[in-house]
Amino acid sequence: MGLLEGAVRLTRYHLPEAPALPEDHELAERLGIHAFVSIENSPQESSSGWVEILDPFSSRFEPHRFRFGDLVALALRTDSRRLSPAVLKRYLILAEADLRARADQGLSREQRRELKDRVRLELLGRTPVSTRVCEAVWFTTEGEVWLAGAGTKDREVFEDLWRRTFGFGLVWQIPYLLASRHLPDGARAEDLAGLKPAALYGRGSD
Amino acid sequence: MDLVDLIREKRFLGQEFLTWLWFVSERGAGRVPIEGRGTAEIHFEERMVLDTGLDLYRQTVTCQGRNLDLTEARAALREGKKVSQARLRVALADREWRLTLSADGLDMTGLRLSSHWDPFEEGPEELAGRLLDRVALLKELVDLLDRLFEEFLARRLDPAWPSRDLAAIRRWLRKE
Repeated sequence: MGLLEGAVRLTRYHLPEAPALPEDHELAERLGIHAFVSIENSPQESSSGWVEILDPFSSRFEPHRFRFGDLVALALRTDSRRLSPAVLKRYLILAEADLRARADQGLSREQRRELKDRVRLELLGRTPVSTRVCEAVWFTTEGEVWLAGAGTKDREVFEDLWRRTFGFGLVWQIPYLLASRHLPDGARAEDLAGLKPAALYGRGSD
Repeated sequence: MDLVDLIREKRFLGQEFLTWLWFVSERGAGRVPIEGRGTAEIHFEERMVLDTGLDLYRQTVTCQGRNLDLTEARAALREGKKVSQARLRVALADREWRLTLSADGLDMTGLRLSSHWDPFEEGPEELAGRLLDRVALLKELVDLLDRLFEEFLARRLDPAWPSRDLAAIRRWLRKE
């Protein structure tokens, strides 16, 4: 579900204190610092970072691949492996039995901990990696950012990565904050802040 | 106030916006004038979720089905529940969007666009073209919804809200 195809799931953010847009080469450098790093040949559980929106297998960040006029487009890629606790437990029991038979004595707490780490790393190395890609666009003149295809966890990773990459945060565009940006003529911020829920079917306050 | 408290305390704004939009859409038989954009078609269809709030005793009603007349949803509103999610069809000239709009963050899910790019044209230029085309369509929808939200807000903050808009919504809800 994203900006390039299929149904879209869209979250909007506002940039309340965005500094001037960096030059393309500086943007590319910042994206490169936080680019996606593969975990294919390592036993890591997950990895998240920026990739090109037009090719989630590339992190070259040539300006014409992320800059489209006033629009900056990029993607957050997250690769992860999920090791089931039941599978880990099964292999740990087998490994413990094997070690006990060879040592001919019980295992210390330290030996058990080391064994668990080793078994976990071995299993992670054999577990296939799954990939999720969430696309994002930054409307640089309007100070607005859209994130597509992200659930709650991806949103948190995106917001954190954004802050680390660009040095300023994103504010989720909830109705109240949207309202405070679009106050009608003559209305004051206090009027909005003081609003109470209306009883739509004839009870309570207005 | 931090964001979590703001979401909780001011959630009613998104819910009232969805309810107002439903009222405006039904009143105009799906035709909704939008300032500076012409007249859009906005239909509530297939699915609506209503709830009593985010507290411990939250009660939720989901109304769904083809050719839904939303009688149950209207009954839930009379019981004090508010719209928290609605499936909409929005059309303007030859563009059409179908989406589920949530009250919490005005997030859009299951959003389908009437984009005309060939999925088998996969070169980088075609891909960039498709991206810009789809972003432009999304932008148009977001602008339409923002204009509607602004109109709702102007009415909601107007001293005449209780006697004019709220009274009209209550009359509409009393209608069987």
